[in-house]
Amino acid sequence: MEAGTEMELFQPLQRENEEGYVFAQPATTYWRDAWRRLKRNRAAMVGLAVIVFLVFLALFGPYFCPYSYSDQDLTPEGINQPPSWRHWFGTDNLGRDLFVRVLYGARISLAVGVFASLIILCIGVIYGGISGYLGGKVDNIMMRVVDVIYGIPLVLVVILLMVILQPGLKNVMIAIGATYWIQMARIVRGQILSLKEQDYVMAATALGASRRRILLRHLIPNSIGPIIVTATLSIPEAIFTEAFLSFIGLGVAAPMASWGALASEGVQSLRSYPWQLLFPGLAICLTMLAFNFFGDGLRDALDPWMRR
Amino acid sequence: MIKFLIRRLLSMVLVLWVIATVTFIFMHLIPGGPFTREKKLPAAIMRNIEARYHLNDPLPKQYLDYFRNLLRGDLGPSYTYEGRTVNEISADGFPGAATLGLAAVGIALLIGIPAGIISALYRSKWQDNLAMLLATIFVSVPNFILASLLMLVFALKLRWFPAAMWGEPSQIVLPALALTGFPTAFISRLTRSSMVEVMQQDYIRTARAKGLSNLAVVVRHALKNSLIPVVTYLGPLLAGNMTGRFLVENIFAIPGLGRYFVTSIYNRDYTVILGVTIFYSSLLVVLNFLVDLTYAWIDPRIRFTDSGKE
Amino acid sequence: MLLAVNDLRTSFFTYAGEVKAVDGVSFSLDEGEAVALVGESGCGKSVTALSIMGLINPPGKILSGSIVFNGRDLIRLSERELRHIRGNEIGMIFQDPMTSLNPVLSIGTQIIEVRRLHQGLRGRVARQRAVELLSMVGIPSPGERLRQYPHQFSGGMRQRVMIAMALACQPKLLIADEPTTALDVTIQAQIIELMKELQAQLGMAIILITHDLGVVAGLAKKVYVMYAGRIVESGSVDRIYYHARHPYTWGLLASVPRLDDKPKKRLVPIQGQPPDLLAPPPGCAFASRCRYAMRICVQENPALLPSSDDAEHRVACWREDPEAAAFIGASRGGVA
Repeated sequence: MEAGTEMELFQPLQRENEEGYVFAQPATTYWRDAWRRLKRNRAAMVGLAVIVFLVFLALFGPYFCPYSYSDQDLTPEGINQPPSWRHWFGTDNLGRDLFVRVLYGARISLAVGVFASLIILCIGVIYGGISGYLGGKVDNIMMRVVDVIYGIPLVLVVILLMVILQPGLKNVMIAIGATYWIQMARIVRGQILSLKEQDYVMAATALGASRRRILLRHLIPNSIGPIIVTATLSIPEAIFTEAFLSFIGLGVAAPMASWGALASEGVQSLRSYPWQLLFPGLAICLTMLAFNFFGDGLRDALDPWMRR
Repeated sequence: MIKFLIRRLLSMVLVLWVIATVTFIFMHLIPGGPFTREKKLPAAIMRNIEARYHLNDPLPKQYLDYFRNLLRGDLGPSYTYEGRTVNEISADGFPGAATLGLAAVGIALLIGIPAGIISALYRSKWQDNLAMLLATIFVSVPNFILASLLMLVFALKLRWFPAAMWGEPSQIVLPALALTGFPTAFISRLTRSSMVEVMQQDYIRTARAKGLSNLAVVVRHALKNSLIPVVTYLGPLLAGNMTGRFLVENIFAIPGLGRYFVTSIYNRDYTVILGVTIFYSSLLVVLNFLVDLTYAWIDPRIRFTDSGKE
Repeated sequence: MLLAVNDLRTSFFTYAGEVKAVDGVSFSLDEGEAVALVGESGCGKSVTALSIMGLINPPGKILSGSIVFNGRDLIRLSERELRHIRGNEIGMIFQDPMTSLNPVLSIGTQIIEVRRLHQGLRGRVARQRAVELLSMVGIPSPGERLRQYPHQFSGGMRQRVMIAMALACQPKLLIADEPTTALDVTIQAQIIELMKELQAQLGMAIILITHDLGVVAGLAKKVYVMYAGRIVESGSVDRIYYHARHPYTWGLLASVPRLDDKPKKRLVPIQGQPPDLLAPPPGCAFASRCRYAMRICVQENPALLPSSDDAEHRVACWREDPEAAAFIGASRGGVA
């Protein structure tokens, strides 16, 4: 009996019905792998949590407050009050509750961040995609244009655009979106250029797939990682730019106030009422920090070149 | 090399021409002008003013005049600073701007590069984590917030430095620090990532296989290569630092170019806005050119092949 | 005995788990002897070489075993002592000469650096010695070439520069990690020829690492075939070429064109992929690709044992087991 089993071990392997024999493991997909890496990145997950929290506050916070962003209290006991239980972040020189104003500011800043980076995404992907995909002369001309724009300090372009467009929430988004797409376009073009040489694109071309199809089905999906990362990291940049514009009076119009405008008002009375700068300032820093941490984590998780 | 230089110079001129033209068109797209905003002026005076600034000439003539002046280096008169030209204003504001900018970038390089190298060499250790945490924080703090906070703490509360004065070395400290935060953080992140990448290159393994110590590998084989992205970033950094100064100069009441610029936005003083735009653009273009030269000096592949980047 | 590697185990600890890149490798060579480590990419041959050089970086780690070089165990040496051996007593050349030279330093700087480091040679003497080295590896007008940069050299010339650099201190051992893989076929032959000449001239020992059994014959006397981090067969070049016993070696041989092949004979690729070293299947790592696999092959790993007719010829395969004989006979009948 003993010898019998021993001998059976040397029987040829029956592949199809041999149990417990695994020929191939399920491959970890790109996205599952990326998610696993992202989850392990503590800073990125904290960033994500803070972003979710901020979005929640911005959306629902104002409904739980007893004041509105324009309620004024011009009595001496109402203006320029330091933080207290009644006014968590104090009040400004018109006696308006700063906490509510910062919450409304979050709506503006987050909206500008998200929509401006959506505009950046659209322009950048289309421009970079076309440039990289068509290549040759078209690419050359399109990249010259990018070089010229790159030759102007971008902050100046935004300022000039805002001077032309006039202050306002929509215009801020447009001005930022219309200016900061350069980086995105460059990255998309670079990705497309390197992917174009890959065998599977050659194979698709050889099989007679149309250019449109190759661009949409093969090139864009395969450069999606860097695109997502760049878009995420352009959110804090947009938030910063909006704050900057509001700070010099070119941002969102009063009485709505973005964080930049609040900080600008705060600086005027920095000596006497420092909290008027402190809270909007901290809000800007916290939001940018959260997006930067999350964006960095995304890059580490999605960048296929860093995978090893 | 000479071909490369000529090509770069030609493209510089082209870029500047395009920028000047585009800004000129922008100027005339802007609704209203510097004088329509104030109280309604009598028609006769209005016509007088417009004649004085040639605003009633046909556009092509204005364009040619503007360019003729521009070629002579004349940026035109200011609309709001009575009797002053944009050139005078720039000359006034530039020294302050340059001092501050160079000080800030100098500090940024001195701190950022070593920090980035240390981070890369101690990758994923506490040194790296700490440096990158600080870097991310400083990348996330807008310079006008940092400036206000520095002013609040060190000038108003502790009274270590003057709050709003200009002229003595002690007064440059706070604004320079405020301007240093972002570039330092950015340079250290850039240095780190490029250093990490270079350290994975095959030639680093070759150097180690020769028996070089870690320090020698870094100094002799990795540093030069990994500084290339940092050098590429220097042009935009210096120029961006200039624009970053708009607010910091305003907060610290420094008579720099940025302050004039922000004031001119409030006043719709278009020649100043355009003049400063062209001035900064030229600066950026020239800086980028210098960066390319440095690049060629570092990388023999560019020096000898007569072609640009990529 | 110049070098004796004994039961070397090197693993990489990635975020997904431990990868056993080298899993119990033993081999040795005498002074002036040339051996070859052969296997597909990922089989652990390069990691073996880097372990010898002490160049395993985190997340990689040498777990156990010994590497005795000239009577000293390299694994137990300090980093400082190892540095003295690297480039001085053991030279190494790498696969891709395009990326293995620093693009921003001149060839001369990179060659002189080695001698300066280990022998304190500087100035004109060092330069003169570098010129000699370049002419030794067959680079024309070496004096001028010294001032040039890597991008001004062709692939073959760069590999010659790499060899000159590795031999700068006249090491006792040269490790050549896929020295010909990135080169054109005609250049490959030249480089192998050059290494052969230099070996005759300088008398150093060579470990040639390659996936190409075709380039082995010219240089090495002994061959170690590696698969999935282990040596699966070893023996003299003759034994491996003409009397191989491991199915994997057969596969390697069938994928190399030979002069004594009949014209129009097809080259046969080995089917399938090497196993995932993260979660290696139990048993013989080659079993999933082996057309002779038996039940025991997926349950237990075969040991590397001397073959029945030549003690120097070692094979790790269950087919060598006396008990397998009966079935092999049967299956052969079946195949035919």
